[in-house]
Amino acid sequence: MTRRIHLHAGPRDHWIAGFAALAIVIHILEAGVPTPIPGIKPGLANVITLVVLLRHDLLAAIWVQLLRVLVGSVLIGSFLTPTFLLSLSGALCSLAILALLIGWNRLLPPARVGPIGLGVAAACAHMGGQFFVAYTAFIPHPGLLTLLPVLLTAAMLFGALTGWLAGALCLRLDNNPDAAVPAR
Amino acid sequence: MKTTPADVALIIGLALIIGTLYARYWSPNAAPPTHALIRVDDAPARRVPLHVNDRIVVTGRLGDSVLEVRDGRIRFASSPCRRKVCIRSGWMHDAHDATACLPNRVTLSLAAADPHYDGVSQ
Amino acid sequence: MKRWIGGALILLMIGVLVLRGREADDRFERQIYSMGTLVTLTLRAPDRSPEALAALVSEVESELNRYQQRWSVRGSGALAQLNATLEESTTVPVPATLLPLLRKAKTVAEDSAGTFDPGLGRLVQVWGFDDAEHFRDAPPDRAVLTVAKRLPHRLTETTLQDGRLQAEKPGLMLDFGAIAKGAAVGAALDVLKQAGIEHAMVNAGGDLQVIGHAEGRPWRIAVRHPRPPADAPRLLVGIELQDGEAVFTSGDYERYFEFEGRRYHHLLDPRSGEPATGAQSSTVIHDDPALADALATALFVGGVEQFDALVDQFALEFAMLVDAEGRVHATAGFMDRADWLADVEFAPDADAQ
Repeated sequence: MTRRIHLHAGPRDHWIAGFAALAIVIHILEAGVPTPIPGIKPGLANVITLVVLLRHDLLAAIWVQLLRVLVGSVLIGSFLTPTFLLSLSGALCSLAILALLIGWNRLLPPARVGPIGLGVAAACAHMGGQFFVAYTAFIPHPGLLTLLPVLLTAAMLFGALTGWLAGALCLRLDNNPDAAVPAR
Repeated sequence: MKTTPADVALIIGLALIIGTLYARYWSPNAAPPTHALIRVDDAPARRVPLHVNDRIVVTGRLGDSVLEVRDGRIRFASSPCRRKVCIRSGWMHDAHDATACLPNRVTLSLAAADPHYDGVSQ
Repeated sequence: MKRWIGGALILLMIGVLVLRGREADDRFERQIYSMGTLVTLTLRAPDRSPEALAALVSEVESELNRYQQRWSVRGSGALAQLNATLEESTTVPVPATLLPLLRKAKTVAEDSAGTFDPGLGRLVQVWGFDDAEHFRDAPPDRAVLTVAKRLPHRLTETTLQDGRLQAEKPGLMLDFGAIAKGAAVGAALDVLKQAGIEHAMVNAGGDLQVIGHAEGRPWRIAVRHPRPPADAPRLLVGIELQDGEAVFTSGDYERYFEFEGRRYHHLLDPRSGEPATGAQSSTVIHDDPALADALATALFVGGVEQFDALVDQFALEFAMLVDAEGRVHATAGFMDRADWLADVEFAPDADAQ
């Protein structure tokens, strides 16, 4: 006898999906932009992840980030390719760092990290994770290491940008200066 | 919007790390490379002298990549990949220059001479 | 305000860290393809413009190409013409451009107990090492080798008088491959010295000479390990060079072909007509690059048996031999200067002086 499984999409699922969709659109648009060095992308879709993190909770941000990578790659056609693996490892690393920093903010509110710091840390972790996988699994070349500082510099700059954008967006959304700082 | 002190500390810390990476991997090598290293998948690297003009064929996952050595430089001349990023990288001629045909799992890099020594006698 | 300070600090730090790594900033380096190899010129002349230095490098290139043309056994340069005459005749006038090096080579040949002799041109040809682009795949026929050895193949069996070279029979073919590069490197440096350059290094595919010094320290070179263990450094020993010193290394890994698991390299033993088997590599440090070139060859061919005798004969202070088993023989002077970079087995000391 077949059992029916009922999936109920609650309001939380709705807005997570909404943010994820937004992130996916940005991600796909960005994938079309040519980059001088493969692997360097502004990562503007991270703005969405950061906004969700800042206004809601870590779990929601994780959902949005992973959905973005997964669905984005399916739509682009790079699912399960090396590119996908690189994206995924980057996403996981940046989420890990964000989780760490959110915890830090909770424990030490006077030394809290703001959106710009979060953006920079997440972007560098993302780039670092991607590079690590690329270096160990695909191109174990000493020559590749000369690219690392360049990639990380770009990540730092774009991370500051996405962090700032996320913070500004939060301000707009709430019209409340304190919303720029994680509520918990 | 404010940057918190922790933000600044984080950024300075990262900048320091990145700066060290630059210093470590970007110090110029005085002696030019004498060999190129060609790797297919994870097989041991094949050393190719750069002073003998040559065409080298390596077989990767998709097929044959052809590398050309001329006048102390080396490049991908042809490759079975779709986007030909490897070929468009052009000639490799300095120590640590590198490129790769990812789809074909072929990597090319120029062996770095030891930066501590100004030249090698051989 | 804090943001600007932070940004400036970051740039400053990156700048400092990057700049500290760039000690070799005032070097001008170019590579020339000549003499069948890649020649690297390293000049230190911060008071000159890159354009001036580039022009100077062109001059050096012209000089090297002149040497190549002059001493090439192929083509129609001075040596090729000399050889053409010697093929038919027993006597030939030696042009002024060839005479000095010929004299020097002959003297070295006579003192080297048969280990160095430019008369082996025909043997080089038979083994196929005269053509840098296309080596043979297999050793030449026994018969061909025997015939080649029956023809005159020793410069020591000629007389040089009043600028004329006299051989006993026609058919002598001279090949200065073991000494011409040394002369060329010296000539290249002369061009630089005459232009007023005080610090430079000319490295012709591993045979090099220096003048002056590097930034705040002497020029430092390393000698390649003839049999580097896998994944280990390829360097055997490091040496700091004084002004004007040349380092020449002969190795069995430079030009060779392999046939049925055996390596046939370009350093022929004039006594046997075959590639010398007594060594893996030899290194000589000397102020005269042509001499260093010739003696590196002589030491290689002479192997362990002739090492001490050759070192004494030519009063070599800095010389090293890696024998066929990989053991290192070196003069005391060399040992004093050597900075060993790999695990080295030294030969039992017959004579460490």
